[in-house]
Amino acid sequence: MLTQLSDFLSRRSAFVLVFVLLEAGMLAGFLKGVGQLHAPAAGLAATRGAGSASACSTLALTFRRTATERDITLLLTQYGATIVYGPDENSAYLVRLSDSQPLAETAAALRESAVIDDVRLQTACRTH
Amino acid sequence: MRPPIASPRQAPPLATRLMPELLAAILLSVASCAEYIGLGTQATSSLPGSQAVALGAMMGVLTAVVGLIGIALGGSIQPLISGPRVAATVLFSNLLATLAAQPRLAAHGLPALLGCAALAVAVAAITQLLLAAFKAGTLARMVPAPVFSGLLFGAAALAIESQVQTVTHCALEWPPTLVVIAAGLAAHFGWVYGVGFAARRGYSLPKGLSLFWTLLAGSAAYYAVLGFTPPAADCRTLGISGFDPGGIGSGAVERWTHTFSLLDGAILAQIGVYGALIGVLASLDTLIAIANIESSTHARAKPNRDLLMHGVLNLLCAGAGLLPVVGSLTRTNMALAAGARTRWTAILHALLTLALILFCSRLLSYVPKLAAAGVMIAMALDMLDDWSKLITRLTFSDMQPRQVVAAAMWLFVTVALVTIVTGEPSDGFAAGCALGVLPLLWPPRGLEVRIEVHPARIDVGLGGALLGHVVDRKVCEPLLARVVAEPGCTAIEFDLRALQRVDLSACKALIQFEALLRARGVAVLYRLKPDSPAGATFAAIRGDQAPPASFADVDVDAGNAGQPGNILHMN
Repeated sequence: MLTQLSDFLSRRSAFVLVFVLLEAGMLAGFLKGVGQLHAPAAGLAATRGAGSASACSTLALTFRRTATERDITLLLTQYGATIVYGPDENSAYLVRLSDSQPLAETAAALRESAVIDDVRLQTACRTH
Repeated sequence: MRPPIASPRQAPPLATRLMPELLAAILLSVASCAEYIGLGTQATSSLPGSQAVALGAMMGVLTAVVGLIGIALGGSIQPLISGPRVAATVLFSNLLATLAAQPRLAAHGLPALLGCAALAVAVAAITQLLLAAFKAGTLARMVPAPVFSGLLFGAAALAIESQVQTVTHCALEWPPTLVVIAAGLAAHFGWVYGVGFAARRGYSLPKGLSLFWTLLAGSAAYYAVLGFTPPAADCRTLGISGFDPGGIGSGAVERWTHTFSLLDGAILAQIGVYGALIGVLASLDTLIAIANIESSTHARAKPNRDLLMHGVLNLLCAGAGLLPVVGSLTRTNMALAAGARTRWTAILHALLTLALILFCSRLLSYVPKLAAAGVMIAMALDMLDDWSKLITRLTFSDMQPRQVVAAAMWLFVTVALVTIVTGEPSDGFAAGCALGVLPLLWPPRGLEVRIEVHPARIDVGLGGALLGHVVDRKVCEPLLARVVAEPGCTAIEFDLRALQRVDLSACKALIQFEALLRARGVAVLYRLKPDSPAGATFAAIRGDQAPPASFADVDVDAGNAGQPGNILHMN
């Protein structure tokens, strides 16, 4: 029986490789995906789906008056950021970053941008 | 009967070739644009933001345009179709993922990450330029064949892993995701099966169109289910904003100076290793594509000049923030099968592809991200090369001697496993190279080569150990030079009876060299001792890989084991 199995696998080597490749890729992908789902978010339970950023991954950005729509779109694209609220009373926009984005370093980098006038961490994060 | 000496084909005048070249270019564009989009989306799959996918698609298409025009104008042999390739792009994508995990770099967004990745492309370019300058294209061929096969397998698994993460993420929010992916993959395998079915009935269909059908079927399935339930925000279409060239080229000088200020020793070392690996892999892929054109068109290429051109193009791509340019065997084969014979196919294909991005970006913006993910999964499954299938087939067979097959299989599995587990192709490659050196620790290690030139024949005697890392340098290159210098040479006879040791990489290199010689009208004959392990191994691999041998004048006399005899004539 083992000989027959060996013969079968030998004749179907391409199928064997495709099967192993698919299984290896899917297993690794599932494990990483599940690991990301269960990764602890800062102070909040993780939620499924695209918008799984916690409250602490938001910044309040004030854009320069001379910034064009294209400048703002390009800047937000470069960080994968989305506007979730604004303009507020200070003409600031609440911008959500991805969970993997280091907040303090990103805020420091954004302050140097020619498009940004001011950057403030969201109030709930300042005490951390 | 003496086989005719084939003369290299001459390039025909453009006026007679324009229509066939245009038709080949159209077919190539339809088949390959899906590949360029899929590769680009794979390259930026680890970057934050839903627009990163469209940015990647644009990078993939623009890389193809640069590669096609550059090689069409400066390559030594045509039609060589260059552009982004799966293995190099997966390495690029892994590097981006590694860099994105560094807080210092991630804090500065896409410009910093793409800038660092572009540095790796520059290192790859410099690697290729060095290989060309020192005429060391054969250095890349010294790496054992199972190592490259294992690396391709591991890279393919990482590509599938990356796309499965995306698919899992979308499927949890929007179950019809699986319908879209299944439709795309069904179209891919259906077309591949259809090509085989048609071939058995005497019809020829272009296999490369499978990715186009994958993209089309996936997109159709997406829009079919869209009406029932809306997808999650990250799982919709490519969109138009990512096709803004400003995403790549704005403030290039500022971006580069800023990027350099963020680098430290550890990041530079990482970029250097990835860049060198991309350079070696890209060089090998390119050399394989060139060898294929040589055997198909009977023309002689200048591999070092082509490596030089690819190095220059990759420097351009690094400056522009694009993907590495690599010579593509599959697309080149597709072009040849479609009737391409000159550089005009590549040029017309580049113009059509450029028109797509300039005038049809609105159309491209409607392509679903999940359909592009399906294309990438299909491409990853196609990454399996013939030698990984051969090693697997031999492992489950009863071919003797078993240690030769086992050595190759262990090397293949180790490289693939290390690559998949660590997520770093460079780790797998390093492990493979380290393991590949082990067989050199025990004798015999050296190869003795004896070449005798006769009026119409060259006799080559090989003794000792025929291992993969010496075949090109000690056997193939010198013989090819003699064949070119002696136009009257019609046959080469290899005497392998004194061989004590052989590995699968050497068998592969010798068989490929035989195919090249046959294409040039030179017959190849072998003298073997069937009862010796080395002879038995080579005969088994050769019999599996090449047209069946006709046995003539075979004298299997056990009492004369030490006498000259046991000749295998192969025509």
